[in-house]
Amino acid sequence: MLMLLATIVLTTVLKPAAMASDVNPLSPSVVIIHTMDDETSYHIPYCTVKVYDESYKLVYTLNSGAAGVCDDITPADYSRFYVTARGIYNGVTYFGYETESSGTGIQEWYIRMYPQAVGGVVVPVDKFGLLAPYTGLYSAILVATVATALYVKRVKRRKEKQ
Amino acid sequence: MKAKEKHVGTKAQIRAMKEKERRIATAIFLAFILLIVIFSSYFTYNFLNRPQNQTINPTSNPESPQPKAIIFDQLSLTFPNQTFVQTATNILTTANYTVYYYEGNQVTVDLYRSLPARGYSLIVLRVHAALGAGEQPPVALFTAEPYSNTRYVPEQLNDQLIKVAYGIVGQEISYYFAIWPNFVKYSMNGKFQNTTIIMMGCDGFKYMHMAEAFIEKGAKAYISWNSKVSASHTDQATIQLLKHLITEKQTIKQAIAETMEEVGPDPSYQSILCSLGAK
Repeated sequence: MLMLLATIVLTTVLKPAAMASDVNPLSPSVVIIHTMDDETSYHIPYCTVKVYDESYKLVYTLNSGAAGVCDDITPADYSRFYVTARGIYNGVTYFGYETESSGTGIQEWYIRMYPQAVGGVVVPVDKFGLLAPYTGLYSAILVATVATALYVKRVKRRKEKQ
Repeated sequence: MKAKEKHVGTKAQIRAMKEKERRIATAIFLAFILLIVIFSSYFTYNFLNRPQNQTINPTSNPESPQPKAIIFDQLSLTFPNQTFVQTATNILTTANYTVYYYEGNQVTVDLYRSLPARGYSLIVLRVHAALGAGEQPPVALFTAEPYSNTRYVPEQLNDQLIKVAYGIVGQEISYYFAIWPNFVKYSMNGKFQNTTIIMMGCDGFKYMHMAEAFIEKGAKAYISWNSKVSASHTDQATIQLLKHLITEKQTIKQAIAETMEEVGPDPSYQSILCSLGAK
């Protein structure tokens, strides 16, 4: 069974190559053409990437669990391969992703790049965790109260005995 | 007789020893109580102490007849656009507005909190925004204040503040506080007075919660996007909107309609500008 979650994320900054003349690099979207050649492994530095700006970053997420470094990745299972890309063109941050890029031999991906939206993600907060320090505080107060009550009771009993 | 004296002496010794033990126990108990008091004071100070409201501009005169506008440029941290800031400021100052500009890290929870009481006619929120989870989730407006689970605890428990991240591919994840509609309703100081809010971030009008919260708080109108939007498009559209709204003194509906005609929906996300409370 394929692992659903990403196991390796490798980031490399790819050097710019010649601009493809058949693709319009202008907004709203930028297409990058990404070619890799190797039968059994992906050699990122040797792939050909046609981009329009030198600051494109490719983030590879392999689901194989294979270890690797950015200059020589040999995933044990590369039948499913996720790639996301991020780059800046004319001051605008673009991103794109491609899934299911599979097979052997020369790989060519056409990744449509979208300008990064001015959004974000909401991260759920553990409300019990937020209360933990208060719980500690109230527990301490409770312990102090009980201890004081017991102490007072003990002193009273002792006085009564005398 | 001698044996009895000896017996009494032993009893006294035992009593003295017990007394000593009792004193030690009392000392330990008092030290324990003292520690708890110190511990409690420390927690009370740390968790209940809130920073004082940020002073926006000590030299501003709240009774000035000149209209005031504020630009929250939290986006300057990720999508800086000085041209936008200059153009927007020029449009506003030409129309006799006093403009207050807050960039990146200056956009804090307390700055949001103090907004209604400051008497701005126009508020431009150039901020990231994110939708929560679930059915019809509210939108959260980013601050630049790093998230902490020990700050603003009551607001976090009451769904007024939430933890958010940019979610930009290839960037290290940092968490920030963001405000939810409940914060606008219950934690903002004072009431808006005839204020127009332009929320430039994503999904401001995906659902109505934030718009309704601002209107309920006294805002005249709330303008935002009905889906995701790119930084370049929201900047371009907002400049056009300000021109129509401020320079040409069009109504909000007219200004939005003309702006949409000029710039169109966002080319990538197809979002359009919407408004609530506008005529």
